[in-house]
Amino acid sequence: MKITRKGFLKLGLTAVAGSLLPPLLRLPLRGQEAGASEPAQPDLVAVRDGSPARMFDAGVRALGGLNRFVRKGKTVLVKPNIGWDKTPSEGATTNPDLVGRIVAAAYEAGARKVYCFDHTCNREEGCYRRSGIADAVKSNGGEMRSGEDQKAYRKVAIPGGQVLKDVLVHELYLDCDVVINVPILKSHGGGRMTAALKNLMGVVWDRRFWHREGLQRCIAEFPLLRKPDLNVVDAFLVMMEHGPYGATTDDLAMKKMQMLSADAVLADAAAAKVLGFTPESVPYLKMAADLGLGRMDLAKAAIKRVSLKV
Amino acid sequence: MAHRIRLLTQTAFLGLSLGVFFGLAGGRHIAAVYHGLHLFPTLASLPWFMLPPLGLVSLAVTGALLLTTLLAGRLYCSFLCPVGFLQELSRRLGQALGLAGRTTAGWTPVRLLVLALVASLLVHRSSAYLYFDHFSSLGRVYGLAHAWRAGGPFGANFFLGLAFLAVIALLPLRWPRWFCGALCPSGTLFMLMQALAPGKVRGRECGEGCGRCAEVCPALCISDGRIDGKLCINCLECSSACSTGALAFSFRWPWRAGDGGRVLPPGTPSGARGGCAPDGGPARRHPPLLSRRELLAGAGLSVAGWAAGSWVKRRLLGIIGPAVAVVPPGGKAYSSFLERCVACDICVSVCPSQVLVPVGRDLGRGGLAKVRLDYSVSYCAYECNACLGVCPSGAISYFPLAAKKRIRIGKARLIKEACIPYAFERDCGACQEQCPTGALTMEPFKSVYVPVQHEDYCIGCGACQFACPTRPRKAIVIDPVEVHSFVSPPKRGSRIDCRTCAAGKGGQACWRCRPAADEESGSFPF
Repeated sequence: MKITRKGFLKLGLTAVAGSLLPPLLRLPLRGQEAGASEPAQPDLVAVRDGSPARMFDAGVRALGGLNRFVRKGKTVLVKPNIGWDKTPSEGATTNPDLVGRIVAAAYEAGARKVYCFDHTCNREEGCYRRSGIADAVKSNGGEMRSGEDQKAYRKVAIPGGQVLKDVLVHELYLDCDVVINVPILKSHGGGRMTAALKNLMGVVWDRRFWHREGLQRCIAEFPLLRKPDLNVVDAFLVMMEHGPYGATTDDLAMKKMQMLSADAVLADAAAAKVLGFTPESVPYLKMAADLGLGRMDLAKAAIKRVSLKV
Repeated sequence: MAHRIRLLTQTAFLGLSLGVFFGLAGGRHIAAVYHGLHLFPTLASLPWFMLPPLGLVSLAVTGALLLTTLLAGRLYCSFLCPVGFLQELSRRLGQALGLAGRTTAGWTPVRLLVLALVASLLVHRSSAYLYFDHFSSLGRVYGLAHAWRAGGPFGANFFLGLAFLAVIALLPLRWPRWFCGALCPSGTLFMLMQALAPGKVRGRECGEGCGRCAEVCPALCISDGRIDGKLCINCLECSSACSTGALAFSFRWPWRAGDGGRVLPPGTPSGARGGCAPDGGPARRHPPLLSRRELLAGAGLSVAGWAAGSWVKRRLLGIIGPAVAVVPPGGKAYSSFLERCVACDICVSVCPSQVLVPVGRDLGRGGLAKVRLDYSVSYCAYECNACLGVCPSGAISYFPLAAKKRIRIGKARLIKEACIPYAFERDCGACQEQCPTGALTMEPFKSVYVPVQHEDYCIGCGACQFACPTRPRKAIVIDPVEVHSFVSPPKRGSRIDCRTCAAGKGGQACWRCRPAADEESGSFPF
């Protein structure tokens, strides 16, 4: 066969087109596969069967890495639940290893400074010490601040708040570039459950106002001020009833789970399921979703489930 | 030499007392030794099982103290007592200001009256002796700093502290160690013991008459060449200042020949200033400790003091029930606590929650300045038994933390008409949130959850009352109980809930009874 110039060009173009065809055809196919099981950035990552620190590492990787939330040179507030003068094994306060790991990870992600505090219910000194959190934070280079001094709180207006209008909020919650909310999941007598949204009650000064004027409404409205950038719900040792203090360790169940999400409402909706509730039965979740602070419909969310079981 | 040693030991003990009162010094071991040196509180805390854990240490120290005093006089008063030290500092100031010293020798009958009254009160189990006790009075002086820092309350014990401060800071400017020589019941007892003691400072003719001994005496007890046994605190200042060795500490058993122990330096002509005159006459009998007049007046007043003790306890400063205040765990009962409390404020200063406050007039005269729990300012922390190990007078007995957690000091009462979820149908739960024993649970009621009491578990810690956000009236309050008791261990969920849940009664299964499918399968419940 004689190769003419025209023929050569035709052949060449056909070959190029042919070589391009398979990728062009496969592209939507691959997209479908990915959408079915592996969104680039899931709305919620649920991890189970690892130590709290390991589950955080796996979870935040699945969420797209901590660099998504913590940029170089930023200040970070890690806000665990340190409300009670109890040991980690009593399940009333956030796991200290988890808090320590988050502080370390934030520095690895380039954070300039990592702070930690809680406005505790029991006396602060006892809570910070016995929960093991003060040690965990300090040994990873973080700084513990006090929540007991009213001077550290500033009065701010809650945009769009109906019940909650002016609130004294701790300066760290207002001033830090990044807030990582690290609640422990527990049942809660007044609020039904405590996890991501309820944990933010620990950054305000006057909690009695919330109880007096409508606990559910206030919990729902507070994030109108500022939503945490990342929520890590510690559901390793879960207080299933008599929360938030707990009467005995009989109230605890070893769930070995952790939920991570930028959406506090979504994280709480999943947490409610762990406690055995429907998200709808927790009034403040519905109110928060109605205020547009997050989604509570687990069926519509992109959830990545990770098991670390070997 | 004696002067330097004394300065050292007195300063050390002043520091120790500060540490003990403010809960800083070396924990309970040091405190036990310190308490033991304070006679009346330790004696009041007998029998031994009412003592703090190291009470036997305190008791041993007290025994050693009494033995030492019997053998070698008032070494405690001169070398250790912080109250005496503070008075000596005041006297130094008085000297610098040029104030002439006066002695308190004339107060002897009063001292005997006070001693008899205090002894009677101890026997009658009344802590009203606190008004004369230097140990608890010093505590109230230190408590001034506490009240000042906290901005109040400026109640009875503040003013008692202020009054005692005036007694030890102002009176000694002119009357050296006025409190020791006029009121202190321990001082009076030690004075009597010193009179019998073989070891003490004695003098003989010196031939110099330099008068330095009288100058250095911090109790102003040397005059006219005599040591006044009523005021001498055996501090050894005179003997170490004496250039001739005429004044010296010596041991002479009273039954030994010559009755040497009771012979004073051959007297000086009356009117000579200080020291031992060179031209003393023949040795003469030491004048008795008490003159005949003092002896008669003292005996009469002692009888009166002893009789007054029972009257004070019954009529004047008795504790009258029913219980109107919550008293600390370990206090055992309202009246027995208040009958033993000496209002020294140690527990107030060690309480990390600051729920312990000195009482005003609301408990009657007998409760004045003593201690109660005030749930409007704080609550009794569950994980704490700080006040149980420090009480010097046995008012608060020691219990380990696990036992203290079960002591009922009061009982919660829910006032539904004022309670937010009951009255306004709004979720609250502030009380249940704080309840450490499960004595409150939240149960469904209309559209909300309401607190429900389980009285068997309530210890009356007041966390609920403190947390309750209603105002002006709290919707849950702690009623005091007359007698403390032990409650059941904290509420255990499974025992209660599993009776009514899935076990065939058609109710909703509790979390314990639900099949834990996802636990097994490694999946999630969402």
